[in-house]
Amino acid sequence: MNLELWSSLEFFWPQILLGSSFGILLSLIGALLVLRRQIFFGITLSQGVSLAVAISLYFGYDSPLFVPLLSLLILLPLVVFKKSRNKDDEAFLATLFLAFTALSQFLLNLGGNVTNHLMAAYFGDILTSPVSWDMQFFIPFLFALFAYSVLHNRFLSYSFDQDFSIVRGNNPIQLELMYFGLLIIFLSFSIHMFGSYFSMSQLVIPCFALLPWARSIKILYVGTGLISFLATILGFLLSFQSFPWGQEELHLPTTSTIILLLCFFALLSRMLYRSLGR
Amino acid sequence: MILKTANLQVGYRDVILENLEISLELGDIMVLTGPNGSGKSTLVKTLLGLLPPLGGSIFKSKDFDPGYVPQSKTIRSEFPLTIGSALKLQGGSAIQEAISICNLSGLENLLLSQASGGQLQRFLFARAISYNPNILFLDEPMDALDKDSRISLKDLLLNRAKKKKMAILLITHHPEIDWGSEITQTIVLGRNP
Repeated sequence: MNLELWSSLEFFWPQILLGSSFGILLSLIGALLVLRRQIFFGITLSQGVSLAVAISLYFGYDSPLFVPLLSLLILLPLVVFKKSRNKDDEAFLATLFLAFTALSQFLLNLGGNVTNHLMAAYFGDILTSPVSWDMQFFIPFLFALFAYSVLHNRFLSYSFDQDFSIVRGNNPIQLELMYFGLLIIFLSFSIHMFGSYFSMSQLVIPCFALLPWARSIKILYVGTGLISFLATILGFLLSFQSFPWGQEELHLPTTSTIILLLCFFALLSRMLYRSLGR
Repeated sequence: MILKTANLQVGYRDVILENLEISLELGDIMVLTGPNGSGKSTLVKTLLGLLPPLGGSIFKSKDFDPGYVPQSKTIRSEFPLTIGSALKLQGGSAIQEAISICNLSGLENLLLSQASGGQLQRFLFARAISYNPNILFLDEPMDALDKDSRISLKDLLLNRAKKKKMAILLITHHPEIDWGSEITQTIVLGRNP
């Protein structure tokens, strides 16, 4: 291990630890989103959370709870509305996705402190993320994590066969609100710290890569977590290295390197699966 | 009376069926038959509370405890779940008994995505009866089965209804199967104009 890499690891360990933990967490929660075939809805929610991040930055509210609460306020009515339509309307989601993006861009245009932060929220480099060890942040986060792990089997059962779950007495709106509410909370913490593209990619790509191979939910979860972890750690290590580029030295952007590694793993996994004639 | 309707109207936005008067006692077996699009599944979904009625009323007794065997296409068989793990996830307290009744012993480790139509149908049936329901709704449960399996499922249903005093509401496309004198009511629905 060269000196440059070692000193980087020493300096950026909070980003590495939190980045890989959030990556694993989002990949596990995203697996259910992929299984439910609601990927685009998840992506639209992510974009809505980015808007909440932009609003919090614009008004200078930097409390760790502000973004999750604002995100829930903006997005939970959308969950109810979507459920009441009882169909997946992609054009509607695309319209919302663009509206959230445009509104965020609008705040970006107003300048001030938003400019840098919002650019970071979208394209942000995970290395520059201001990692917070504030208990105000961790207590609600751990509470959400506990709630998700307790409710996981109900979410899974409902996603597998909604009608049967309803016949057995589950309330669909309640379950949708709880699942997407928790997803929004996790996304808001992750997007606030690591940007929306990092979060979205962890949500979708690891499960997409592993799904054809999975023979059980447990295997799917272990596999998605592993792919997410490998891509995040490898992405960090690669971005700490410098590569000669003409007369200069090139440093790869960490977030984009992680995303491209996730894409590479997904492509490799899918091609391998097909080449084995499965 | 475990289930009773009065002047019931069902449909999604437009009314498909109207003036439906249905009453089921424990131990009754009702067959709903009719061509595609006649509203059979819509009626069952309304009775189960999956769709709101467009008019009229549905009365369910206090001990109304339904089991539901939907068409096999409604479950997400692409989920990485085996027959055993799916039953563990969604089944009731009598899973082992249901596995044995439905001839699923030895198939617990079979992935749902690799199960045949008949095996999926038996899984759905096992899942429903694992709750020991007192009223069972079956939506075309015979479709994926060959003739012998249809007859054995029919026998299974009739035995179960008798033994557990369970009411059954069955949608079928196979009126050629002889249900004998066990059927208490048959409703033939016409095609919606």
